[in-house]
Amino acid sequence: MSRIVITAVHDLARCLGARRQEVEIDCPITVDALMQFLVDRHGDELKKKFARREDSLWNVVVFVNGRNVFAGDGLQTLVHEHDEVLFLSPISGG
Amino acid sequence: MSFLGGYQGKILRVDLTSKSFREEELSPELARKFVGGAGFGIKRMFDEVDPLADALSPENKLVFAPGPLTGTDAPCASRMSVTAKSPLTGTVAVCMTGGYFPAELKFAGYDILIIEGKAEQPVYLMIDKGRVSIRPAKQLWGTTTTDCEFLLKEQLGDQNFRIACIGPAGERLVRMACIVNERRTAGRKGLGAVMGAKNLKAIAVRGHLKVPVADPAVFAAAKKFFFGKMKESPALYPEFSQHGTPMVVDVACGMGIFPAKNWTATGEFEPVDTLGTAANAARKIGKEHCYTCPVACSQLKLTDPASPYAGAMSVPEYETLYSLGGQAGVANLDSVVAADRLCDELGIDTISAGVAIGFAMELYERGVIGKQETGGLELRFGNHQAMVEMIKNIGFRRGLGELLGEGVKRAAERIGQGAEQYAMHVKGLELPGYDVRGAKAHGLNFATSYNGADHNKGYAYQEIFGIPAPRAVDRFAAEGKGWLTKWNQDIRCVTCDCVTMCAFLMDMAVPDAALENAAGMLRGVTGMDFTPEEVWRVGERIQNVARVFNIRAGFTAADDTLPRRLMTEPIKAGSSKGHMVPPEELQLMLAEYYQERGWTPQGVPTPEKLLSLDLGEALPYV
Repeated sequence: MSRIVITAVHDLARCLGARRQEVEIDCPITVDALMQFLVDRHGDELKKKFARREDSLWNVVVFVNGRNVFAGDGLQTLVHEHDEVLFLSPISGG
Repeated sequence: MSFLGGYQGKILRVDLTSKSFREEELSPELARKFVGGAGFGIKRMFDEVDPLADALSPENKLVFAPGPLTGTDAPCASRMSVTAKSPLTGTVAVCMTGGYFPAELKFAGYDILIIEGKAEQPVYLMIDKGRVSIRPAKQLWGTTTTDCEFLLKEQLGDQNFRIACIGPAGERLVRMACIVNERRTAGRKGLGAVMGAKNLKAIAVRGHLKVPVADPAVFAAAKKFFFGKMKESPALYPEFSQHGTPMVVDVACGMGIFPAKNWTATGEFEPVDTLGTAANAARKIGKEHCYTCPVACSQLKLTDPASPYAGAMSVPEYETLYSLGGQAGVANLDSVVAADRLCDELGIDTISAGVAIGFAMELYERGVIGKQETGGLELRFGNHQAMVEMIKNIGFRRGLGELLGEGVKRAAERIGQGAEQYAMHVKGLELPGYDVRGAKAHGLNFATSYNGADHNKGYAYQEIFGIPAPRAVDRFAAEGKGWLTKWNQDIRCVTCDCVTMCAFLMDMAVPDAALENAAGMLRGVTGMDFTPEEVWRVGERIQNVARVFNIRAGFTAADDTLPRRLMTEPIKAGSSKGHMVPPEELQLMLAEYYQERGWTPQGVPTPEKLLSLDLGEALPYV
């Protein structure tokens, strides 16, 4: 088992139970598989947050070590031991 | 040609020197080529103001311009631009504001209000159902903004007037003074000082007209499209509507780009628990709408009754939580709320004030200045009492506050002793709250925005929030950021600042359809056959007009830069640790940006580019 850090903001943090937490999981693992792992652990509300719609923007944006996975390999991006994964809702403002 | 809808067809020009005013016809060509809001403001400045004029002289003008949607029932279209030559930057400057004043100006019958000259004595301008008068403001002079609004409504005997005014800072020509309309502000670049320099304390407006809509069926379809997109957004109603921009504290900290302690402690000082969403929610007592906005992102906060700041209420937005929080090393929300309210009452831009105070705190901690300069204040990071005192000093031009109110660029030049390396600004405008060492397109926008480091003129939401429109990007990469920055500046300018619609909601609702949304709205309200491509061209045209104004004012490519700290000191901790914008990387991005814009390598629009944008009037200046 490997340790990775999961960070989330706003409602996603609430669904995950913490804004920042360490998770033990077999690595490397794809972002897709990691999200499924988290849904299995945290339930339907998170599943709804992670849902994707074909005709709209992503419900959730994912960064691995600060980089937007959708600018690279998307949900097939590999997460390795000690990596930091950030989940956030696509908000705006400033 | 008369207008079918969207416009009232009238400009009100007020000359304070001669105490006269006149109405002019709005040119259909101006409407077609520049749409409204920022487009109207920048073009009027280009045509009417000498770019070399002193920004605080009677030669400068102040242009208020709503857009074609303002005053209609289009959602989130409460906006108005305020434009002038900035006394802080020396560039042309546009501030956007919302609330209710902009719609009222349209109801009064005007698409543009131009203020010129200078009154001999303090005055206010009253516009009431077709009557215009310039009146003495002796009793109003010296008041804070809330008191000014209260007193003026009492004097007018009508609580239904909408007021825009300056506070003591604007009266004293503080270069970071703002214009306040109720709880909204034309906040940045010192336009409050321009108003003060004209001896204009306030504008009171009341109207009774409706804004005509050219094609109600097309307009209804456009509104339905936008409402649908708003509901589709996974974050807008579920979260943003409840928490507003303080949510960005959580995001910026998560991304490692929340600037702290004059940009020395990004990633180290991350006050999510004390300044973030949950902390703000604990102080929330209500929310406020702008005209026709169904979201109401303004969240009213009341300080803790047990706090030294008990009784203070304000709406601290993200930028204020950065500038009066992180930037000053302050993690105490009650002090930020109180300081925010103080800035609003004095009429000071919270971003510039906070950055200037953080700058002074670093100088104090480094021993460049001491208690003799601070008037005895222990001006260290985290000392919120000292911060609040310094805000008063800025507003009333007292002691070190007088110097800081000039902005960090001028203050550093006067202080000397290497202070310039700690002055966080671009073209004299203090940096907003995104550490662009971890968001390169946002940094390129700071460097190239026509009015200095302005996050709102080309917001790289693709980097800050990861929104994948028009494409997902790597925020640390430099390649491709020239194209992206041009896209963000052009599209934000026209779809938000000219049409006019609220940028926050546009980013969340239609980031993938901003041009289509704007074109649909414009076709419906004006009856003119706007296409998405033409809408984009309007945005590009305005960027070029602003650039030529600034070139005439003496700006060159050398001014398209970032503070030295961002180019030489990597972020020390957090999710953006190790990143910076080295000079060669900035030059790479600038070269791509100029090329994408069709400008020379020296950043000058080519004659071919200007002609392609129907800007023959700019040719003599390039």
